Amino acid sequence: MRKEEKFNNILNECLDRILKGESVEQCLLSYPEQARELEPLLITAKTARSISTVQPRSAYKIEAKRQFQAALIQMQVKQNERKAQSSRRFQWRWQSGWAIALVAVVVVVLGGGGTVAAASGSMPDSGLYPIKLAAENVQLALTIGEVAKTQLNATFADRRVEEIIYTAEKGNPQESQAAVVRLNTNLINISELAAGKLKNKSESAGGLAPLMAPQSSDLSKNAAPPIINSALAPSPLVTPEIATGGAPTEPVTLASPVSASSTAAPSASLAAPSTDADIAGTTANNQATGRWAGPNSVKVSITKSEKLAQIIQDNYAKRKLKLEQALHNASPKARPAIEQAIAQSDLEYAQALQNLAQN
Amino acid sequence: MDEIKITGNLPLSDEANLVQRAQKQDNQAFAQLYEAYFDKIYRYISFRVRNDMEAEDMTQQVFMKVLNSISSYKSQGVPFSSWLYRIAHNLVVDFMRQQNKKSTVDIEGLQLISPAEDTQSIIEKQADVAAVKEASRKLTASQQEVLSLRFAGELSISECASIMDKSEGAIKALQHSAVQALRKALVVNVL
Repeated sequence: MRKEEKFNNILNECLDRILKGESVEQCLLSYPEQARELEPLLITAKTARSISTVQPRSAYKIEAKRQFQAALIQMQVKQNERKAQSSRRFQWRWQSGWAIALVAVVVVVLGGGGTVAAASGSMPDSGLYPIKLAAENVQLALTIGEVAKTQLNATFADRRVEEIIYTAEKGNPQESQAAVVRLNTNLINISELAAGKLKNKSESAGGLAPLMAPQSSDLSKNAAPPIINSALAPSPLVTPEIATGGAPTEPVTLASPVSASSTAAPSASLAAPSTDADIAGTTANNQATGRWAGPNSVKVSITKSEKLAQIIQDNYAKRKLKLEQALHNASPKARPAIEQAIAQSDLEYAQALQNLAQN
Repeated sequence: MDEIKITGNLPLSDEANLVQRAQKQDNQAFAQLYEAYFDKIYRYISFRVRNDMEAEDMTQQVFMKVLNSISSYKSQGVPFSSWLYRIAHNLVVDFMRQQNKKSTVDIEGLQLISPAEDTQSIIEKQADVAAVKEASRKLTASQQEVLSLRFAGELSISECASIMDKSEGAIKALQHSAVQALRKALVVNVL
């Protein structure tokens, strides 16, 4: 071995020892022949070792960890969604096509129907569960207004929580993961509603909305005053496009062909409270026609924001409590899904409030 | 994320096991890898770019990249730590290229561990860190790299060799020249 190579090996060994906390003197004692040449290098190395004491700021570390955790959850949710979609492709097709149409007919024509009512309490391992999900999609599609949609998503999120706890305790991690993904969908809907992103979006009703309500261009002549108190009137079916934009010349509310039966339906959320949508429509229409909307017109939007915040906060608090109680009593195998649901819930709650503040 | 205290390097077998679990989306495994390497990667980057804000951003980027590409990592004799530092190294190189080697010294946000240490000791260490960072600017990029991997990342010669794509003998020689050059630069700065 060449002299230089030998010295490099000795230096390297000494550096390893210094990095482990040994002193320069201890190293020099091991190599008295090379001590003279080694000493200045090892003293320099000792000084250089100070850089191993540098630490990131604690505030930055906390924030970085939070962001990493959020990214981790997002990634897992996406992957689970993909898995769930591919494994349920057949079911999904059935659900998004025939099931929604069937449920819509059952709900609308038969005023709820025993099957749908029975399905509403079903769990993911039940044969009725696809009916439950399809009925929820129909309800979302028929519900008008951000407040009502937010409330409905909050209700569905509560159901997802029950399902997560149920499937987790049953020891079915796949179903638990699927329920966590579904919970996330409801929570993201809430966040997007808080951001005002879903107000023009008719939820995935498989083309149901165009079937049930005429397009905005067909409605412009059906002038009728907006009905503010939906509890006193048949549920009006207003296309979201009209309620929030498009500036028609007259306030438009269409008495839905299904409204009479929907009032008789046992499902309260079907007769969607449309107050906020109607108020929004009134404001937009009054602005469009140049009419003074009255002193309450400004207060209306504040009330809506407050309502949304209230729903989001109440639902989050209730959900958090339920999940934490479940976690407390959960078996080890049930814990991961519940923990993930809590993390997701925290994340989307913060996002919803942020969206609300920015909207 | 669970708080997991890990000191020192992970044993390779544990690390391989954690990586396999992380590749299967095990949160706990991700958390352990994150905890084990976060500070070291930050130190490594911080030593190279000498700007705390940039170092923070880049450390964050490293772990986001790990998250997105861990499934593509295949051991094949290359330890995970080498793969991780390689990601950090590439980011540093890109940054240097963008900055056209005009990085600045920022020691204001510098934090040193052991809050229980006495003030004199902290000041001395901080002065040492600042001096080493400043002096290292006079070193070649390869010399800086080997010092940051060895002293900030606390990596072994074989890990450095794997990251820098050189033989262990070449890394030992480079390390020798780097410490020598650092000594000269420190002496010059003191004088």
